[in-house]
Amino acid sequence: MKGLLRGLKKTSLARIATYFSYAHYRVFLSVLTVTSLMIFMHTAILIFMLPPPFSTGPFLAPIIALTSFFYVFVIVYLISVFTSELSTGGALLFLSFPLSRVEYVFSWILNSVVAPSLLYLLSIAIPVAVIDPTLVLNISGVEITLAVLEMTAVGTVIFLLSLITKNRKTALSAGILLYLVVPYLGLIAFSYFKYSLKIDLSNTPVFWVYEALYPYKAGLFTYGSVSWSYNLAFPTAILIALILAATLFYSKYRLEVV
Amino acid sequence: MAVIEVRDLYKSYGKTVALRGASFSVPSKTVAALLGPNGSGKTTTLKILVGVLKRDRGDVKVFGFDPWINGVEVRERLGILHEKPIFPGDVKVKVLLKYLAKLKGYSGNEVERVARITGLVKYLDSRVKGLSRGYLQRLGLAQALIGDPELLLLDEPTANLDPLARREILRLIKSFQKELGVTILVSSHIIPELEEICEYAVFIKEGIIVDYGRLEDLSKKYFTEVSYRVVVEKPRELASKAISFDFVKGVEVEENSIEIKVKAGRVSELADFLESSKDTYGVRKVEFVRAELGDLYERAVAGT
Repeated sequence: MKGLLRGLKKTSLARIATYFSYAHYRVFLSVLTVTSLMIFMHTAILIFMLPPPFSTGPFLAPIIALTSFFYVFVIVYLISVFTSELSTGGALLFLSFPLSRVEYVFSWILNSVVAPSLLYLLSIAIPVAVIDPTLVLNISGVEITLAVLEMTAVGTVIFLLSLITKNRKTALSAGILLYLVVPYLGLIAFSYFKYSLKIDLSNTPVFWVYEALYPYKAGLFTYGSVSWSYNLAFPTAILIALILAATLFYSKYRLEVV
Repeated sequence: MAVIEVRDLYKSYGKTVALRGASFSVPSKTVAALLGPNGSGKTTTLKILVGVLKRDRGDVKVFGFDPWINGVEVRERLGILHEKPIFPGDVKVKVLLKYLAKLKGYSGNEVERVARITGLVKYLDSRVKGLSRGYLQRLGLAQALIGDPELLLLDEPTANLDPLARREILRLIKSFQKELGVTILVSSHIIPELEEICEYAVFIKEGIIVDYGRLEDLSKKYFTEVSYRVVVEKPRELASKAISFDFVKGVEVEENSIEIKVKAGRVSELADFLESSKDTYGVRKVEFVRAELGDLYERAVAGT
């Protein structure tokens, strides 16, 4: 771990920025198109579904549920571009330049997971600012934070799986499974146990794992019984940090490009 | 001083062993050939040298650094053209080269420079996918030349090219060594091409380095035909005398020099003749030109 951190310290921000801007340049149009579409959708929905002033609850839930369902495809697509660059030899060109494996992979995490998650956040913030900046007071920061963290956490897991397998199909199937199948199946299962079988799983390790990976959906499930605060974000933040460390560790010591 | 030092290098892909105890070195300012049949481990060796593949065991030093651990330090000083390089098709040539130059800390001027050297200037605004196979190879050379590298690794630089493009690429490689003075390691399985440009050879077969060294030394060791250029005041007179000896296979007269091809294992007889006729014909300089690389390879491999 020490060696990895020392390696990270040595990495040049300039090189990460250069490669990030190149990778972003290649996918800029598709990301811009989807983000613009999101801004348009969020504007339209916000106009018709304004939350009550100073709300602290998950009032954005219908909006986030609808638009994030589409937006996660951007993340999955970008991770699959990364995977195909690794498996088809495109990565070889850049890794033959003074760009370390850690810098290369870190640039792609920024490009495929972090940047789209932040753009999603922006796609909500822009309509709010355009419609009426005072609307900011109506929207719970916790809710948006949890939603964006959830998108990032799942993205990093898919990224790590894709990095290890170097397989585009893995990126696509893990993306669909972890973004669109597992969270909803999980919610259905937890609800079934809670309401039909009268067994509350919210204090079991299974739920803790679910909560760390899907803090927003877990928050919606426990809403009312658990207070809606930034504390809900900590396990997810720790999970993201751990996955990130594992990804960079793998890149430094194991990643080979054939 | 050796730019590349490889000792007891092993590399496997699952059950397939690509390199089994390979050892060789390449001295500075040399054009070296990494010669071996397809599947002998040439590409694996080059990828380990550039630090994108991890060795199973052994020592590898490029400029004194381990390329797997200090890859950035190594790659700051070298350029590589991979076999069948994959370039992003949807990007303009200029844009791609600009990003690559930036990674080495260079600006757009460097792009102009390498484009001029490789004859790509006209195509800078074209998309990569619009380039022909020959021009893609030029793009590969251009990116390898970014930052004026001290070491160039070229993996099958003429593979899949038509004869004209092949000749052009070889001419470019020759000029790199002459004008830029870089150390070059060229991997190929096409012997005549390498014979034209190399002065040093590393012979590889089934993951084992059979032998390596200067062609002049190797040809003495394996008794193969060699050619020498003799700079002389009276080239015609020396040529007509030389051709009368049975150890001389052929003579070519140039403006103020002659090229003498000597039969296998009889270099010492040429040396004696030139020494004795030094004053008669005004012999100024004798330099090694080339050895029969194919012969050398066959004899080196036969000895294993």
